[in-house]
Amino acid sequence: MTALTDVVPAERPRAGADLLEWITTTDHKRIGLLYLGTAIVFFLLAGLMAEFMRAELSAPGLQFLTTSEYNQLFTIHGTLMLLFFATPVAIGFGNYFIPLQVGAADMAFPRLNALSYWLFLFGGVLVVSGFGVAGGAAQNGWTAYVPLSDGYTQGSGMDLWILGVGMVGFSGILGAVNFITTIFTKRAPGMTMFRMPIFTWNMLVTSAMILFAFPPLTAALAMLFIDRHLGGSIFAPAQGGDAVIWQDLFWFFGHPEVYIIILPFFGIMSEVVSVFSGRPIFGYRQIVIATFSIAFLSMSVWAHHMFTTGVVNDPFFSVMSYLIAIPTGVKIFNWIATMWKGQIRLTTAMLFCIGMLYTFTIGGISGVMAASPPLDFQFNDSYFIVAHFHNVLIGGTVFLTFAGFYYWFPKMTGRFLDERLGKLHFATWLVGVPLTLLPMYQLGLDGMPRRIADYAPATGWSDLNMVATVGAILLGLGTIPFLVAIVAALRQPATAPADPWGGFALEWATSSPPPAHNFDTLPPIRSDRPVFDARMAAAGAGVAASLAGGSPAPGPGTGSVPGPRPGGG
Amino acid sequence: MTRLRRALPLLPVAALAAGGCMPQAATTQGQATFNLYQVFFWAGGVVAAIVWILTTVAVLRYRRRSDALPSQVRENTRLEFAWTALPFLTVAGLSVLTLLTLSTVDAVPRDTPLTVHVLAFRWSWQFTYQGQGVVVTGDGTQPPELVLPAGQTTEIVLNSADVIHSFWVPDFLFKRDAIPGVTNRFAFTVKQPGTWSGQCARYCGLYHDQMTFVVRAMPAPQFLAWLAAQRAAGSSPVPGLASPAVASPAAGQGGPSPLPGAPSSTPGASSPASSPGSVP
Repeated sequence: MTALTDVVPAERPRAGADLLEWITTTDHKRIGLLYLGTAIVFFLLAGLMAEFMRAELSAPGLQFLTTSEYNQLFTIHGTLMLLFFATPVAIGFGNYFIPLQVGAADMAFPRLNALSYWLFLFGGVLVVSGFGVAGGAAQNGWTAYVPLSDGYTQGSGMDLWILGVGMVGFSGILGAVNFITTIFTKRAPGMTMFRMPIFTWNMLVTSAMILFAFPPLTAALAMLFIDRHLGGSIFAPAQGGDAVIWQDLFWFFGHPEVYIIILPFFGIMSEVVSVFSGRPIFGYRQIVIATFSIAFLSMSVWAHHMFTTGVVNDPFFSVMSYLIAIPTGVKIFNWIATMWKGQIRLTTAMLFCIGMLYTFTIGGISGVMAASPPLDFQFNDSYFIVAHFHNVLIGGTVFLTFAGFYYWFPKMTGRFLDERLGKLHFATWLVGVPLTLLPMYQLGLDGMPRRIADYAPATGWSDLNMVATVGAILLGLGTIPFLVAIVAALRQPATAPADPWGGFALEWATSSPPPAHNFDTLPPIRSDRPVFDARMAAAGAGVAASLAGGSPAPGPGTGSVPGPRPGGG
Repeated sequence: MTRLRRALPLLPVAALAAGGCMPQAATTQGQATFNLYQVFFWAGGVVAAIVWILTTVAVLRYRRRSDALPSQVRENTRLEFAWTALPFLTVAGLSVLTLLTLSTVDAVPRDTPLTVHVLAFRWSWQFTYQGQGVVVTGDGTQPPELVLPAGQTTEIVLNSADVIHSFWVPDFLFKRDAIPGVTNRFAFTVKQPGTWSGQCARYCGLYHDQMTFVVRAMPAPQFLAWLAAQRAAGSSPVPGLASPAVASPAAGQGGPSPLPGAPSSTPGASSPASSPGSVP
């Protein structure tokens, strides 16, 4: 026991120094990990809120919550999931992997990067701290429609929400500036734009979208604050203000936002599907063009959230919204074509991508339906819409977040997430998502509005709600193996090799985890798959010769790579 | 395995059907929406089936079997053109159908036999029958009734006294927002006599979930009798029925509000509408 007292004083200063190192770090990898860890904590918190809401809705009557508590929960659940989980988790992956994928030693502005993270963290703390003030947290929904959130809402919960969301908005803008600068100025020699991995491409486009979309949100929040505290009447119709302009400003941010939180994950999808099919991403150029199309179109569809207001041009926004389905569909076909004739390895990361093709598609189709104003007159603000966006966000963003974790965890930590736990995690989520969401579609068609704490027994909504609640519980339980896998992995020694999956992009050309400066040496970059090229070069000189000097897209119909195939075939 | 493969095309249809049955529409306008939904539903089913089958076949057929390097083909212009053009044609067709249906659903005829001004307020509804001297105001104890003639087109003039609400009768397959400072007009023709529930769809604060109403359609003669009875009841309002002396809300923002608390007043506390548990 004397040994123990000897050890403790020796370790204490080291733990403190470690903490200080994390707090003061400007290393993009550490900031990336901080982003990812914090985003997962907010995800679990918001998920827990969802479980409370599903419990409340499982039967008519108020069983567990008061109406006000329920209203706070759905507000903070939505806010956390969209702005403090989905956006930051993409920024976290971007932080860790953009410099690695372009062969850089760090981001362009490391200290700005640290500031972005801390703004995000404290913004989230502010939003959640609303639960501790008199009157509770904000309870106007994550969309905070005026004049409800204006003159009709007292209490500092709403103000904490405004400040917290404003902070994460600034954080996103600063992060986007950093990503764009990094991608344009820090690429390694040979890393041309059209040799960048799709994930980096998508983060570039996402960052540009953030620059367009977030400032209107920040401006709208400032106006709301002026209305609430400085005697403004911008959104107060009784004093000559306009109640609809908030929706325009909010959705001019809000609709690009839904693509801001899907494009990075489409990037992860492209990486994982391509590596685990053993094939280059099919239609690289078409995917890049599709990403740009989605970005452009996403700026001109915001009012499809406002079809029922009766004051927007429904036909215009309807047709623009339909158009955005085309580049999204193109990507899905490109992913399937990447898998086609591949050698598919069903790792957990790949399973989540395949699962995404099943679940996200349903969300996409219901989205096309909702882009039709007459149909939206029924869906809007009903559980059909709730089912639709959870379908795309869980089936897309969340599934691909998990794929990203299983895929990149060895690179980030040197440790593997357990594949058996991962497959259990995947199986429960693949069953849980339709079990939760399909009843919600029907509930919406049957007339159940969203954001209600209670419903009358006579509505006949009880059975479907109970099924949805069982599904949500399954999703909650299914998250446990994921957390266990993370904890178990972190207790193991770091054994992962530099390139455990047979990867393609530059992050696999350095150790796992990478050294502080990222790369000791870089392989030659002569295509979008430098690590694949290097592997082939090592396997046979002939292959490397035929690959060298080609752009990633050699031209229509001539893309097949000739040369001997190791192992015959 | 073969049986599984044969059943696969049915899976997406079954899954969609499990969560996609639009209720039959009670209005002629809703009928157009219902018909449009059927087209979208089956088109969506076909798209889902294509994606699901291709994905499933890819996973089953191309699961790793050896260390051989798979084909490294990375482009096919004809294929890529095809899967851009086909979705484009699909959404072009859906756009045309949508716009045609939209003009039916949004049409407001010039001379409807009946115009009802609907005023939404926290947390109930007021229905004013234009030119009839009849006003029905919800008092929070029970859902107010919007009584209409079946088989005739009714125009609704929609306003809000405070925050944004949304007038939704699910069986009409239609909703429209009630926005302070904005007057929205729409019309519908109830096909048959009957009773349907309606509810505020736009979150409007604490008791949003209790902001319900009822639509009751009756044959035209009975409806006229009902109107006369309400007029006769005059100053002795029945529960859920306010005095006709209440000014029409059609005046919009400037008009008197059924609420003692006008916008920007302290919400909730002074509202006559609902208190917790007041709705059965």
